[in-house]
Amino acid sequence: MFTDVLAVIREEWHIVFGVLFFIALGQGLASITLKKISGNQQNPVEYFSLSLAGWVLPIFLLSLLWFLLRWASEPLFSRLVLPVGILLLVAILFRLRPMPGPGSKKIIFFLLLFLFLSVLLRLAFASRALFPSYFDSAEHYHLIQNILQNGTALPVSSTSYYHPGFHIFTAFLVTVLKTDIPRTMLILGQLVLAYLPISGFFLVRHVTGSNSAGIFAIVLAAFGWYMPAHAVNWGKYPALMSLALLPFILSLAYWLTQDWTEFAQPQKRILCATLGFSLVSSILLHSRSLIVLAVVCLAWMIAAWQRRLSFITRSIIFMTVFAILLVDVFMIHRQAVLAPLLDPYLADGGWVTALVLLLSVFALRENSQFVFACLLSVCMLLGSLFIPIRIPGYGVLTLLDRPLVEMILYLPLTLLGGLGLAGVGKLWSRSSFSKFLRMDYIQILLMGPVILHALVTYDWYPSNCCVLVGKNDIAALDWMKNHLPADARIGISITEMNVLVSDAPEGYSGGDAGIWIMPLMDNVTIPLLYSSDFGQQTIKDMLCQKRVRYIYVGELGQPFNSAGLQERTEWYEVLLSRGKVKVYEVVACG
Amino acid sequence: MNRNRLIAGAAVAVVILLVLGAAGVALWRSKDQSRHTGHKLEITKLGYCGSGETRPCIVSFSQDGEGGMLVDILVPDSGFPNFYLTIYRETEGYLYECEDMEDLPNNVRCIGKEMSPGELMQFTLIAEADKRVLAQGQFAIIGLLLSTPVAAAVETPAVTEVPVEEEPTPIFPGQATPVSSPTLPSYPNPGYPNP
Repeated sequence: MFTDVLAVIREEWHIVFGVLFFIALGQGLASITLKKISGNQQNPVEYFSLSLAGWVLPIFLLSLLWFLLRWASEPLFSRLVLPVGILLLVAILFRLRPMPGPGSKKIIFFLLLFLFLSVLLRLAFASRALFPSYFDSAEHYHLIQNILQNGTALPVSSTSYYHPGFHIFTAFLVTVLKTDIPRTMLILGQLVLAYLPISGFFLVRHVTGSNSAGIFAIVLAAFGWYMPAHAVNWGKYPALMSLALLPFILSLAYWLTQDWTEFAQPQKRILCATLGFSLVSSILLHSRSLIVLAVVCLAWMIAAWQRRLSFITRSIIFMTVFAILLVDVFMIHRQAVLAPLLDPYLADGGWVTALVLLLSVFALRENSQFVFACLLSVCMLLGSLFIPIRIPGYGVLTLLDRPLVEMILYLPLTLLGGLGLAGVGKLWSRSSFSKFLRMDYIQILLMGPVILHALVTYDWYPSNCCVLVGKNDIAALDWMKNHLPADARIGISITEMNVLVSDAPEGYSGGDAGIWIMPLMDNVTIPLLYSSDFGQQTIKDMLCQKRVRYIYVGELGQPFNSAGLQERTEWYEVLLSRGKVKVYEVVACG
Repeated sequence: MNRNRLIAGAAVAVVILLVLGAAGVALWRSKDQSRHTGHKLEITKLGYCGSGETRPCIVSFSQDGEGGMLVDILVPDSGFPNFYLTIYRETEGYLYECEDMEDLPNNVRCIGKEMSPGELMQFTLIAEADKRVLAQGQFAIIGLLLSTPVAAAVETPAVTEVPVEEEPTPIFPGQATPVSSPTLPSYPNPGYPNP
């Protein structure tokens, strides 16, 4: 694994260090802003962690500016960004002095060490990924390419245009770093993932005052479950980037509401503006963030409201939420389309979830509102899978879809775990047992198994489930680019996409590497269901009618069955054969 | 005092939840793992295929174009015993003959009466040699795949009357999308699979 990571750093150092530079710059800018908000009152560790959680915001705003001012075609801008950025970063580092005290230094050192290891571990993925995984990535590639070539994105009214923020962000990096789109997308995704666990630290630390609780939250977010990391196998980069910003938004909102009276008017304005920009950025990065944020906001308001009620009423509400949660889980388990949602949290990481729920009981004493809000959020996130909405151009969908909820559930669980550990710590320090066994050992006892579980079971490489492009595919795509006419229509394999409880197909997904033909070669592709029987006359007639001249059979995923194509030699002629990859010419149409 | 009672109540609820969950998972797991024990009564659970399946599973249901239904089943290895499939709908049972697919060594195709999607039915794989139950599961057909591409399927008035477009609607410039029909059943493959 170590050699794989070194290979990525050696061969793609300009992307790795380029993205890391922008992350550092983003953190520096976030730091300056946060310092303006609260002067030097904030704990240095909290500053540091919150600015790390907010790195996406300044860089995204910069890329948005780059996009809106159409600087993509300005070579001067591309040449200036890096040197100016470096100078800016150096200036920020000087400005952020004095250095924190020894107590804070230890934690900051730990956070940096964690980031270093996290970056190394996550980069292993890129060593074995030829292209970003699954079919979503091909669509992201196309949209990024469009921004780069035309200096503009597709019209917003287009139904296929979504999550423009991520595409603008990546296009900006590709331009400034002079890199290629697939590798930048891939490495950016891995680095976002490496930084993502840190984002929960501030909230837990700020609420509990415990560094250990914050660190436990980081460990849970990074290693507790195979989500959200597995989402890179789905090409869910926009959702990941938005998810990386979500804890920053929640932290700012919490800070704002809790310490409102302590801020002076200018500070309030800066904090509100930062929060507003963060909200807009998050929604631009992934449109469904709006629903997630609404869910969390509603859960928090209900949690605050129920605190005013009598004990009996609160108990009834608490039990009702639990009961609804159980019903949610039961309903999801029964639905074949939704059941995979529970895999990371019940089947594979069931014991971690159980541990978190158990710990959360200890958080009730100090932070009952927070615990209730987390549980209610989980409940509503799961429930939103059953609430239909009609979106123009997409038909009837549900508020959230299964992959997004599966990705996001780690966050409330992580917060619950952190708060729970802080609760155990407080209880322990008051008990007589604390004389015999220090709390530190208990924390190690809890974190150790989580890390060990991850080291033993975690797959740091691309999952076979979702890799659509093999080496033979790349060779075939290269061959096709050079040998097939630019106006040739190519038939590619697709499958129906089902992630909604209604069982209504959400669209079509690429079945194999054929989904990359259009973005890479600009040829028109005609999607056909992977199960098409090419031996049938009706299929042949349809191909002729649609003027499909070539058919691509990929190596991985769900390619066409070659049987019909091979049998009907009078209709189809093999042009290229490399392993399982085949390119056929339709010769029957004349 | 109230707060303590609230904590105690919550603790009890969580413990109950954990015990129930653990029991459920254990029960669930024990069913899955029973085939590894070599026990006389081992019956593997039959269901839809996920990723990395090590047990027989259903890949898809499709029409054969002559009023019958094809059930594609993935078996763990080519040494898996020959079997036939029975589907029980309420009290009626239907037999489906199965044979290996030549081009896909671990795939078996069974053919029999067409069933309607959405109904809960019992599926059983029975070994031809000793009539042993190899795998069993109860679930609904959540999608019946037509054996023609979507565009061609749309042309059949029996399925839908949506007219075929002369030029396909672009998904994004350069790429055409198949003409979709609201009545087209879906393929039983949950998108975005887990590892």
